[in-house]
Parts: sequence; structure tokens; C-alpha cells
Amino acid sequence: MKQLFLGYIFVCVLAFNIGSSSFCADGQALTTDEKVFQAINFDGVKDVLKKDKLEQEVQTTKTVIAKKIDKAVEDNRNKYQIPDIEFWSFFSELWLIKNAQILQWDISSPDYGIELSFKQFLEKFGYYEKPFKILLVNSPNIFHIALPTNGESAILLLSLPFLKALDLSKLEISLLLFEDFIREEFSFFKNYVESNELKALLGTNFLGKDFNKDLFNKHLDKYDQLLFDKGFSFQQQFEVTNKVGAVLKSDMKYWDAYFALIKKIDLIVKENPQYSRYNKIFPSPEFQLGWLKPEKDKKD
Amino acid sequence: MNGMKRKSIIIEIVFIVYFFCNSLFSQTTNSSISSGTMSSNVIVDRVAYYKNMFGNVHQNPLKTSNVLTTLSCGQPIQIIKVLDNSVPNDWEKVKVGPYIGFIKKDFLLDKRPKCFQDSYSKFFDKFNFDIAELYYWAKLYDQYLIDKSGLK
Repeated sequence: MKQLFLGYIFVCVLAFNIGSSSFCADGQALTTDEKVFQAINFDGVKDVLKKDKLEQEVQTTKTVIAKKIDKAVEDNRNKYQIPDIEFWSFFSELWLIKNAQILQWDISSPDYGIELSFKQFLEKFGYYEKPFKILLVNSPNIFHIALPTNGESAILLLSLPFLKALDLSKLEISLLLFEDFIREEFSFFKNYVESNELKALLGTNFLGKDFNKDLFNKHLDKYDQLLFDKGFSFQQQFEVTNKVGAVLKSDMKYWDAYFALIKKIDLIVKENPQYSRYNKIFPSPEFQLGWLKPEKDKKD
Repeated sequence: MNGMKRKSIIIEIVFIVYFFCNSLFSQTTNSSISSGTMSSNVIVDRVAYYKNMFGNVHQNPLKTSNVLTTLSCGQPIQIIKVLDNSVPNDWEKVKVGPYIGFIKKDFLLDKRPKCFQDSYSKFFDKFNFDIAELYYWAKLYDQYLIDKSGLK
């Protein structure tokens, strides 16, 4: 009974205490949260928090999370990036894939040792650390060409029927590959295929935009146009022939071999109707012979 | 009671023998399960990564030999240490999934390469390559005669 009475007294005192502080200066009633707020000395708690460096910790965590979110957004955006430098090797290989059956490169051929011979050739003329990939095709529709790349590794195509028809030696094959290698250095092929529209698109991001696949298909068709129909210009051939001739002049044995090779091609182009199209693609072996001849021989 | 003890001892022995054999075969792989051309035991040595766009694992160390499976860039490959001279210097014996075959050494890297199809994944996906095209892409790297002129 006594305990019950004491309990009653305690509750009354508590109610009086709360009641006394339940009104603001203007006489309005306070909510429970506000009452708790008043009861705690927040200035003191803030000091404790500062000393614990919890605020710094919260800030650091916020920064880390924000960075992670930014990175995730950036990573997602990067997935929609259209390659720039890396585009051309991809695109040339894409053309090879799409034209695998026309070009007939999926064939078994004996090891001719062409790559070793060409490697030694490049080294002889000071072309060091030049990676290359040679692809033999079993099609007479294409003769020899270097496809556009990002400069990382040249892609050189060689037609087996063409090599066999000309009965070329390893040195002659290397000379033919070298001519293509130089043509690729001039970027004639790439410049033909690349339109302003494509140039503007490379290196951009298509997140939230329509992807213009037709544009890429049109540019793949330009490979066909150049290789099977239009070919290179006289001016381009002149520049390539002059450059190859100038490089080979350091060793006349090789220059003579190049001259003899062009003569051989000129002959087959004139005699074999199957290869008459060569003149259209690489105009023309006859002119090349003229460009290569020294001035005094031309007068003779 | 004695019979029960004997039974449990036999079961224990069976378990010990099983686990011993299991651990032994997880480290060494008998190459005869692959092509049947090799007879020596080989050990999984390290992990390497395929570096080209796509490629093939061959049954024998020859680019014209049968294709066991196709790889894409960045795929991890277990390199098998061959204890004899049965594999040419420019090839590696590898384990990819359930297959044991061969890949050209030049096509492998110790670190994961930066792959085109990862860097430009959405661009790459837009071309919707079918299986035939992926087959040709893998085949292309078998067909290439790859080399590089040396240093001065």
C-alpha cells in the first residue's frame, strides 16, 4: 500500500515537471519530439561528434558513394562509345568476315614462308617493329591490297591464283606486299572510304541516340567499290611507285627485281583477259614502268 | 559390435582412398582424354587470357586441325605444363572448360587484355553477329600469317 502511494507521488511529480516545461514562451503546447529536443544539450553532443570525427566519416562515405555512382554512370556511358582510333582494324576485319565466301580465305594452304620473307624485307629497308597480318585469298577477284587499320598491325591480302599465275618468287611477293604497305602508309584506301559523316561519328557517344547502322553498311560497300570496281587513281599510283622506287634504290638488286615484277604484271595484264581488270584497280603497270625508268633511259 | 567397428573402418578407408585419388586427379590431367595423341601426364601451370577478338582451341598444335571450341577476347585459359617435348615451341597446351587442346602462344597474355568488344560493347552488339560470322572471325586468326619486323 505504501509502495503504491510512493509510486503515485512519483508519477505526480513527473507529470508536474513535464507539465511545467510543456509550454513555450508564447504559451503554445510542445510535441514529444520537441520536448526531447529541449531535454538534450545538443551543443555538447555536437562537440562530442566533432571529436569522434563522425561527421568527417559521413562526408568521406558520401564522397565515396558519389564517386561510385559517377563511375557507374560513366562506365555505362562508355559502353555506347563509338571507337575512333580502334575503328579501322575492326571495320576491315568486319569486311573480311562479311566477304569470307566471296574472298575464299578460309582455305588450307601450304606454308610458303611468306611472312618470314616479308619480315626480313622490312628489316632490310629499315622498317623496324612493323607488325603485319597476311591473309591469302583463293579468289581471282582481288589481286593484292592492304586494308585500312589503326596502324597497330597492317592487314595485307594476297590472291593465291594471282601469285600462281605470275609464278612469283618470295622476293617478288615481298615487293608486292611492300607496295601495298606503302600505299597503306599514304592512307589512300582509308581516305576513299571515310566520309565526313563517318569522320564526325567516330569517337562520339550514342547513348540516348539512334544508332545509324546503315551508315556503317554503306561504308562497307565502299570497300567493295574500291577493290572490285573503282580502284586507285593515277596520281596515287604515281606516288606509291615513286616512294617504293626511292626506298629500293638503296639496293639496286631489289630495285631491278621490282622493275622486273612490274614488267611481269604488265605482261599478264595485257595477255590474260582474267587479269585485265588489274589496270583499273592499279593504273597501270605500263605507266609504273615509265615512272620508274631513270630520266636518261626515258630519252633513249 | 566388432562387426560395426570393422564396417566403419572399411568406410573410412574407402573415403580416404577416394579423396586421395580425387586430389591427385585435380592436379594432374591425363591428356589422353583430349585428342588421344599425347601420352604423358600434364599439370595445370597458370592462367592466361586470350587476346584476339575471337579464336579457336585446336585438337592438335596445328592451325588446320579440328576446332574444339571458340574463344572470345579476355577469356581465361588454363595453361597445361607439358613435361615432354610433344608440343611445338609456338603453341600452348590448354584447358578451356571441358576441352583440352592447343592455342598459339602469341595469342595469349598473362594479364587480361583490353578487348574491343568490352570497351565498345554496345557498338559491337549493334552489328548483331550471327554464329557463322563469329565462326569466321575466329577462323580469321587461324588464317592470318602474323609476324613483326624486329628491332634495329
